[in-house]
Order: sequence, then C-alpha cells, then structure tokens
Amino acid sequence: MPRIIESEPVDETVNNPPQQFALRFTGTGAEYFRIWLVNLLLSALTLGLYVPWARQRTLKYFYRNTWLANSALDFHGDPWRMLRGWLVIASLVGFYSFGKFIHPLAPMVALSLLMLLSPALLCMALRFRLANTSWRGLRFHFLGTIGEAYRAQGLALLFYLVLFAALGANLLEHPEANPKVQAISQHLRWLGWWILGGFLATPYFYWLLKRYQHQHYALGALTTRFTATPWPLYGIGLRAFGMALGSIIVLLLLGGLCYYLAQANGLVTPEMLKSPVGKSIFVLMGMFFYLVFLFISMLIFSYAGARTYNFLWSHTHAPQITFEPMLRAGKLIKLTLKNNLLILLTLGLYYPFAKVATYRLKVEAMSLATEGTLDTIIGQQVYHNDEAMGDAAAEIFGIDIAF
Amino acid sequence: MYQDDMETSAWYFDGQTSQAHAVSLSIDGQKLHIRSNSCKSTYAEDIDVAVALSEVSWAERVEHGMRMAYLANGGMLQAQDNAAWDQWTARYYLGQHWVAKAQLRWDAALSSAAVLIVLLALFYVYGLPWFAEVIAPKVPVQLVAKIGSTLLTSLEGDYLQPSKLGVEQQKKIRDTFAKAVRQALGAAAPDYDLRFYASKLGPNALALPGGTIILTDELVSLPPSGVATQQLIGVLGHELGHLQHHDGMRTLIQFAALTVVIDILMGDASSTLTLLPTWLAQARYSRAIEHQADQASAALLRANGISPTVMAGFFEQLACYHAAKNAHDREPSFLNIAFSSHPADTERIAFFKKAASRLSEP
Repeated sequence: MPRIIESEPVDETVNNPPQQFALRFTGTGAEYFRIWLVNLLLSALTLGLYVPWARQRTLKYFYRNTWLANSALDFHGDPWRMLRGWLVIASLVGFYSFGKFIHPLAPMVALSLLMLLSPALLCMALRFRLANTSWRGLRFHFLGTIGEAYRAQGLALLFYLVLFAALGANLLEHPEANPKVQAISQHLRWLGWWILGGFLATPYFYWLLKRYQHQHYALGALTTRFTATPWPLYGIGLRAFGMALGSIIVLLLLGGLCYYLAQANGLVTPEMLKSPVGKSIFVLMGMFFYLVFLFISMLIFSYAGARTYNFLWSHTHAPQITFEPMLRAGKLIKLTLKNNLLILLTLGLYYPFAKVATYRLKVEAMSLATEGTLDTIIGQQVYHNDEAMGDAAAEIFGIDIAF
Repeated sequence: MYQDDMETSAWYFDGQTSQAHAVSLSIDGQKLHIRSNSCKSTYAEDIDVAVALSEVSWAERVEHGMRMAYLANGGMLQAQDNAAWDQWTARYYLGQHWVAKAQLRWDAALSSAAVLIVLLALFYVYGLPWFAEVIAPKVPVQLVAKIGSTLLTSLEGDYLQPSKLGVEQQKKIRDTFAKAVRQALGAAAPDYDLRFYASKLGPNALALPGGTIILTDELVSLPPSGVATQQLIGVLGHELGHLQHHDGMRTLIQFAALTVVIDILMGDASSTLTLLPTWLAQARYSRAIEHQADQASAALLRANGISPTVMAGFFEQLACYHAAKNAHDREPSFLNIAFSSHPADTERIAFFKKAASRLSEP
C-alpha cells in the first residue's frame, strides 16, 4: 500500500471522524428454546457430563448473534477441554454435598478449598473465555495474572475464611448441650462485628474484583483501563439497602395491619392461635410475606445491577474507544418482573426466552464511541510470552464459569 | 466481477487486523478459491488464494447469526448476505452437524426432546435402580463401614441413648435371632452387629451400611405388653434384608444421581425448590426397597417355620400405638402419609398375610 508522507499537520478528525457503534443482538427466544431444551435433556441423561457441550452451544449461539459493526463474535472453546475443568469443579462440589457421609468436616474442607482456589479459578476462567472469543478473526485476551487475582480478592477471601473458621470451630467441638451454648455466645460478639465489617466492605470487595477484570481486557493491541472509584458503588449499595429496609418496614406494617384488623373483627382469637389450624395459617402468612419480600429484593437487585453495569462500563476505556452503556434501570426492573412471573407460571419453560430477553436488553444498551473506524483502530496483535502461556495453562484446565 | 451460482461474495479478514476485504468465493474440485472483488474493496491489494477445502472449517448455521468459515492460516470469511451464503454452502454440503440440525427445526427439536424425555423416564424407573443394585455390592467394604460408623456417631449424638433393657433380655433376643439366621441362611448370612438403644425415634429398627442393626427399647416394649419374640425376628429379618441387599449404598447412589439430575433439570432454581422433587422421586425408590426387605423378612420367618401372619399382629399393634400417640399430641399426621417412604401399613399387612398362604403351597 503506498504511504502518503504528510508534510503538513493533518486534521485527524477529517480522515477519522468520530463514530458510534451500537451492539446488536439477533437471537430469538424461540431459537434458543430449542437449543436449551436439547441441552437440558442431554445433560440430565448423562448425569451432567454433557454440560461442557451445552455451554459451548449456548455461548456459540449468543456470541454469533451479537453484532458489532456488521461482524459478530464467535466462541471457540473446545468442549473436551472444558470437560476437564468441569470435572474438577464438579468433584469439589460433590465433596461438599456428599462428603458429610464420610466425615462431618468434609463439607467445610471442600468449601474452604473451593474458596482458596477461587481467585485462581477466576483468572483461568477469564483467560479461557476471552482467549476463545473472537471478532473478525481477532482473539480477545485477558491479561490479568493469578497473582493479581489473589491480590484483588485477598481481603474478601480472608473475611470469608475467618468466618468459616469461626463457624467450623463450633462443629469441631462435639459438645454436650451447655458447652455448645457457651462457645457460641463467646464467639457471638466479635463474630457479629466481623460480619458487620464484611457487610460494609462488600462494595469495596466488589470494586476490587471488577477493577481486576476491567483493566485487563484486550483485543489485539487494544487494552482497557479502569478509572472508577469505589464510592459510587457505595452510593448504589446504600440506595439498594435503603430500598430493602423500606420494603421490610412496609411489609411488617402491612402484616401488623392485617393482624390488627383480623383481631378487631373477631377473626383471630387467642384460642385459635394455639390450635394447629391457626398455627398453620400463621406460618402460611409468614411464608407469603417472605416470598413477597424475595420478589421485591429481586427487583432491587435489578436496579442495583443496571446502575452498576452502567457505572463500570462508562469508566472503562480503551485507546480511542469509550463505552457508552445506557441500561435503563426501569426497563431492567420491568423485564425482570415479567421474566420471573412467566417463569413461575410456565414452571420454568419460559427460562430460555427470559435469558434471551435479558441478554438483548443488556447488550443493546451498549454502544462504543470511537475516534475513527473500527477497521483501522485495531492494529497488529502484540503477543507477550507469559500471556500466551497463561492462555495455554487456562486451555489445559478449560475452566469456564458462567458469568 | 459478477456473481453467479458458482460464486458467492464474502468479507475476508486476515486475522491480523480488523480490516475487511471484499472477496468472491468459488469451489473448484477440492480447493476453495478466494479472489478480491475489486469493485467493493477499500484497499488496492489483490487477494488471490486457493485453500484446500479440508483446511477450511465451516461454522454451523445459526438462524440469524453470522455465517462464516475459518481458514487454517488464521483468517476468516464472513458472509455478505446470509441467504446467498446458505444457498451456496448447501450446494456443497458444507458445515452440517446433526445436533445443529436438530436445533434448527422445530419438529426435529421436539421429537428429539420427546425421545430424550422417554429415555429419562426409563432411566428413572429401570436404569438407575439397576445401576445402583449392580454397583452397591462392589463398593469397598471399608468405605461402606466408614459411612455407617459416621452415621451411627451422628445418630448417637442426638437420637440414641443407652438402652434400658435388661442384659438378660438383650441376650435372649440376640441368641434367638442368631439361631434363626443360621437356620435360614447358614453361611450365606451377612455379618451384622445388633445394638439396643433407647430413642426419641420411638418404636423403630434401623440397618446402617456396614452391618449395624439398631433396635429401640420402645419397639421391644411396645404397649400393651411388648412384642413377641417371633415378631421381633420378623422385624430383625426385615433389617437383615436391607443388609443383604446393600440397601444403604443403593439408596446413597440413587439419591446422589437423583440430586444431580434434578439439579440439572431445575437449573438456576434455588436449592430449597429442588428438595421437593428429589424427595418425592426418592420416596418411590424407598417403597420398592422396603418391600424387598419385607420379602426377606417373610422368607426368614418361613425358613424357621414361623407363619408370616405374625407380622400382621405386629403392624396392628404399632398402628394402635401411633393412633394413641397422635390423639395425645393432637397433631394431624396426614402430611406424614403423603411423604412416607414406607409402604402404607395396610399394604404391608396384606403382603405378609399373602406370604403366609404360600406356606401351604407345595
């Protein structure tokens, strides 16, 4: 290609006008339903051995229907490799579920092992997933290392391990009635503070994790930077917590009101409360309010999820590319409501339709603003040796965790 | 360049940059020809390559997704028009996979789903029980014993207290039962360890993996005047039957497999939701297992010249006990019947009566 040597400064924006590319999703619920159904039945029949293939088909379907600038993504993971990672994780989970028949501490051990390994597993899963995702023939990469993953999740890990150690210590002592109560009440005070501390630190733990992810994405020579601070996450968390608290108060008031009215009208008497029928009605009402609260918290989660998604991606930058997420919390909340109601009504058959609808909402809310076209921005792939090795190691284990 | 049946337009990406090159594809023998389509290309450079068809990987068709093919050199081809691409690839039978085809067509998907559902049902009714029956005896004895001792330890913590029965009475029951087992099974009898406990569980008998049989004081001294020795032999024979059939491991294997399958089927549903179907599914297996143990009990009784009808009297006595207890506690037990894994007592009484009539058969 002939090179034009400029002797005068050229206005870059003339040749490279800023552009905006919105992501598109062309998948449909009906299509995915068929894939999902076959996946489900084959997985069940093979007692779970088919799951890596099911994952691969699902990812291929979703990626190849996700379009950016007229080209779609693709997934290249080899299910045989994914089977290895799947067996590793499945055995750990199996130990957690059934180990108690061999030794009472087995579940705790399995859980602690899983937790200790989780940063490593996370790093490998991210490497595997991204290295097997491509766009226009170019592969993505995840540049984070396992060491960085441990640094990012170290604090959270410490919190959970201490928590489990405290709980496990109660199990270790095979006590008679009294010492048990003593041991718990001794622990209770500082355990309570520890849990409160963990609760307050959760947005910070989350920020550490997301920073690890968002500053290590790469496509060819393009790498991402993450400029978010933890404080807006606290803002979102606080608002969500406030909503949850508010709804609990409202529900309690409603419950109290119902009870008062029932009592005032003579429907509820002390004898009735003691009878088995009365007791079961009480329990049922309690369950009903609890379910309503679960439902409301699902909606609060959607709200927090949408705000967080927007916040994280609008603070992720690549050279000459900015991400412009515009996920409307209201839309996501309404969609979540509709999805969950329909899933309930159809006994789960609506699930694939719900998954497609949610994915579409999230993906199509994203656009990229670029200075210039996407054809010329992404340049030569720069391969560092340790990245290649990291990807290869991830390939060997084939760990892929659903995000 | 014009496009005819033998050619289709595509975008070529070299795998090094995101730059798109307009090309035409044609197939000649075993080779795929990729040539620049100069009127659409944004670069002046011409591409004219021939690639062996065996080195091209044609991606499966996804209805609205991108149509594409991957080249061995790292490059890829993307369709310019999906319909034209589909027509062109169909001509040469490229990129077809049976699972993809099943997914694409509704009738294929539904009929394969139907087949799979039938297979799942067969697995539940026949496959898994058969598998558990075959595998259970093969589990290493040490592992089975370990599981049994762990269970016993956890039971002893909360539910089992030292027995209040007299040593003489315990010895009498032990010896009578040992004699009956020798008479019926001889050398083929499984090893067992009979233990007595007082228990919150009420009148009950349990067989744990590894050979421990537990008999509760409350059963031995069932009101109004205890349980006859012949009936105790029937009860212990039932528990011995569990040991003979390796029921502990069978149940564990079936339960594990059921849990896995139901968890997969229910996907993201919460773990509490999966408990109910698992419980119900397991209940059906349990009824079958309990019935087999009843058969072992009847066989043991017959071999010792005892009529299996004695068990009918035992169940009636047990039913009276439970009725009296419920009246006292004033708690309706209808829920228990629904989820009970023991065949309803009337069924068991009927079985033992029938088993007795076989005594008189030649």
